[in-house]
Amino acid sequence: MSSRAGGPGGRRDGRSRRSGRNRLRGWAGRHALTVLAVATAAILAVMLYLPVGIVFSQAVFSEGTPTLSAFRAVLADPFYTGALAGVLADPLAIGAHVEGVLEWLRAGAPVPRMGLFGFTAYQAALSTVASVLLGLPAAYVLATYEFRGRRTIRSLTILPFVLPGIMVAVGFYAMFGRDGTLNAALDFAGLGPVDFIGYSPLAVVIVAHAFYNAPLVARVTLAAWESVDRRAVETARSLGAGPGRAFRDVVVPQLLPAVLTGALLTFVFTFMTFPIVLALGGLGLATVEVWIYDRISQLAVAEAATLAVLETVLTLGLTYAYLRYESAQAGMSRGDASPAREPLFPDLRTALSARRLAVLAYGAVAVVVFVGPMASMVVGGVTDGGGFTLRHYRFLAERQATGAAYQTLPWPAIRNSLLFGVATLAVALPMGVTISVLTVRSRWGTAIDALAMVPLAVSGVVFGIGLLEGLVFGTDIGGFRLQVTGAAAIVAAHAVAAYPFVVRNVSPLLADLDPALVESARALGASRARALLDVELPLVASGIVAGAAFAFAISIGEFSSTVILASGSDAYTMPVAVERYLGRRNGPAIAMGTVLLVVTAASFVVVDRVGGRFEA
Amino acid sequence: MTELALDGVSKAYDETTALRDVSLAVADGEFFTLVGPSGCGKTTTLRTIAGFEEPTAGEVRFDGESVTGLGPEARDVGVVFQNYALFPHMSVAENVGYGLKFRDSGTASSEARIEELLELVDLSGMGEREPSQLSGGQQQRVALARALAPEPSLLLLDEPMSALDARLRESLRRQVKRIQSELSITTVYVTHDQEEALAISDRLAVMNEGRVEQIGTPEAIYRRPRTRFVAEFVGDNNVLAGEVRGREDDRLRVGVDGGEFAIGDPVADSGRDSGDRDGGVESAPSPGDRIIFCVRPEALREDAETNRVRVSVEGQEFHGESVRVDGRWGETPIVLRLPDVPTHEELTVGFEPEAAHVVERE
Repeated sequence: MSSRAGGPGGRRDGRSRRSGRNRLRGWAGRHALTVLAVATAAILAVMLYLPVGIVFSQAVFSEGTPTLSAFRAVLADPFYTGALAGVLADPLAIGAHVEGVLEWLRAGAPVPRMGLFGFTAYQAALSTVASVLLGLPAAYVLATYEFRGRRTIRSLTILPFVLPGIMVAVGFYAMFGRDGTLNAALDFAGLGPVDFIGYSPLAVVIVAHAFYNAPLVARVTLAAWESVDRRAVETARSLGAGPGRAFRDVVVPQLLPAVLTGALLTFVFTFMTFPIVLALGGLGLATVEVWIYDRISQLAVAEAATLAVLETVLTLGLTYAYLRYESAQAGMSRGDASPAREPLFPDLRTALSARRLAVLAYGAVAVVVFVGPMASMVVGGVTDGGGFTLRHYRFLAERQATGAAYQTLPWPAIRNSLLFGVATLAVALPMGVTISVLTVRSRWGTAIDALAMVPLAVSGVVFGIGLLEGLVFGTDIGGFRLQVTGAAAIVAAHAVAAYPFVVRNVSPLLADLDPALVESARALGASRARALLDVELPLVASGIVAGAAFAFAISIGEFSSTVILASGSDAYTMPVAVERYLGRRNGPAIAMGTVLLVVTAASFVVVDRVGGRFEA
Repeated sequence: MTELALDGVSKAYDETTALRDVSLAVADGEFFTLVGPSGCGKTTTLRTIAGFEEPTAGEVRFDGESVTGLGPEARDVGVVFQNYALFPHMSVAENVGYGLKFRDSGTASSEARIEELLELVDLSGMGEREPSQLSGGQQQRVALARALAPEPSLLLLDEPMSALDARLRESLRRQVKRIQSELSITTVYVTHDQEEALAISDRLAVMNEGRVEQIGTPEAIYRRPRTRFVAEFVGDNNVLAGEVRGREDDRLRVGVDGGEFAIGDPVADSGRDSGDRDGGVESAPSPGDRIIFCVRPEALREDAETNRVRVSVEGQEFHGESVRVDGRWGETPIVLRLPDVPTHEELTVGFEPEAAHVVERE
């Protein structure tokens, strides 16, 4: 009894006194989450749904009346839909269409006209095949072999995803361009210079897409591979299956969904590709996204909006199909005993086995594709035809010193990028964490998750147009003029592009937390918000830090909407500066790209170091 | 201190009903247990008391005051979970002290209070350890100390022993019981382990499919189950169904399959213990009624003179102080608890009429 000071009456009074005095703080505590949720919803409404909605409404409304004529015009135009235009123009004339197909077959089935959408899908499909072909061996090597640097390479597979597209394009210029490292190597071998990009821009674009997406394919496949329960394979072996058979019967079925996931994501990403095609292919290789950008530049906004809607519908449809598929796969179990890895080079004899040689050959290809462009860019920044030079950096310095105000200066680009990055963090982190909490803990979690993931399915260009139309030019809402311009608009765009990555990093950790932890805190007297602050956030700190690294890198590298919002202003960022230099002066662009690489890598390393402290 | 009452509490989720009209009253300082198979609603009941769930109907009252609508932080309850739920990023002392932050007392007294609590659960001097450095039993004692630190009016324990091994479970449950009666804190304990429930509780409620089947002292629940479910769930039992053929001298003659048994009159039986509302049948069954009655394994003895049946032995488990025998009387499975290993494949056992208990009408 000694520990229970205060008799029955005292305790009763204590309870009511507490609840009385803390009523105000209690209200704030109870409703802090609601307040955050409302603020997040408001930001999303203004910065995401309104702009995207405006783009959609421009496609559907013509001078105030709803019409589908814009869609009909696009769909029936062979320039857009190629050989399908006739079918789409009059879908019910089935007889004529069948006749058309037969005629086409009689003519020996020549390659039909693809149109803009067809070509976009075609290059996306080729890019997907290339990414899968390049990604699967990496997953195999990382899952099967143990070697020095395996863990480092495994973590590095996340890197391409956050590398600015325009920088990757510059890297490919530095490697495959007329003055690139590949030509320097050929020259060394006594072979003449080859204009790779001029000869087959499509091939270079596809390799650049593979640079981006093969690591993604490798990553998701590897994750599935590592979760295969070794005991399942061992059981199959003990039941009489040989190693190959056990692999086919036990491992492959568990890898397939992951491979399909990687392939589908690759297709969606490359379907929406923009900076790489813009920089490497130009209008000659125009994809839907590039063409939308061009239409905007020509002020043909309605047409751009129509294209944007069609593109979004296509990618959203694919994403939805993928989510349905993913939820159907959700029952797959995670194993406790992950597969054992064997040493890559145990001794000299096995080093020359066919399998090891194949691994080596793949390694060589991987070095060319993944390391080549980045190394070429760094090297290209300090060389010209003759040898080592600081000319390109000197150009940047001189431009900074003497450039006119209307010219693109290096320092403002770097400064803007860093400022926007920090501002993006300040907005995207609270948003992302709030959405994570709502997704994981609330009853409408799935719906909130789907709504909040819209930015992943809406392309940067579409979003940029929406922001331009809706916020930069301004919108009247009930007599109140809503206008967001310049830096604020760019930060908003970056934050909206970045917060899904915070959500994606925080939600899984949050979902893994034992709900009893929060309940214990609450039973001990903590309000919901206090429990979030005291218990949940410290325990998902590593996810928040990782999310922050992504958010910062996304902001630094964002190109599509920034290039639209920054046009004609001095709010340009490093990627925009790179694009502006590119074409006119490749040397400075490559130098600027190197600076971008350094800043991106440095921010990633810094955040990674900070994050390392939190990971127990 | 605190009396707890649940009054007609129901809880419906989107498609399922978790609790159906649960009413119970826990006296001040009582150790009360909710026991039942998984999914019976015992944990939902506890969570409703704690304020993690709101009932769809009915009321929870602390000392007669409704706590409906109060969040868990305002209910002044201490909760211990099965998996301890210690905050992994805080030391043992920080865990125990967490709830004190929301009380009026100052820091100095907090430290003293933390040490006092650690002493109470035999963990003196462990305050600086991380939870991950402790064994499961130690972690659970930290969780108990943490729940008790703010001097809650009610202690709620949700399967606190399930993750521990059998021997540790027994010593820890004695410790919990000792601390509970030292503090005389009103306690609700949830477990699926009927043996644990019988051992630890002042009273218990047996739950099944969201309903309370029976409330009573461990002895009443064990000896006089009111429903077939309770008879089968609590302890080993032989539950038989038969037809009343006649009654004479406070005895019923009950025909079961090919045999006939003489069993004690249920009305006289329940009259022996007027305190508990546990007479399964209020009025005496008359000839022609079908009833369910039970005979505990330990009541079936080879030297009993009445109600003798031949049982074929099908399996046996040696328990040290007794031997559990699984057998069959005709088609009916029979459980026996004998002092020695049976030497024959067939045994003849019987039971005193008063050892049988009429559970309910069929």
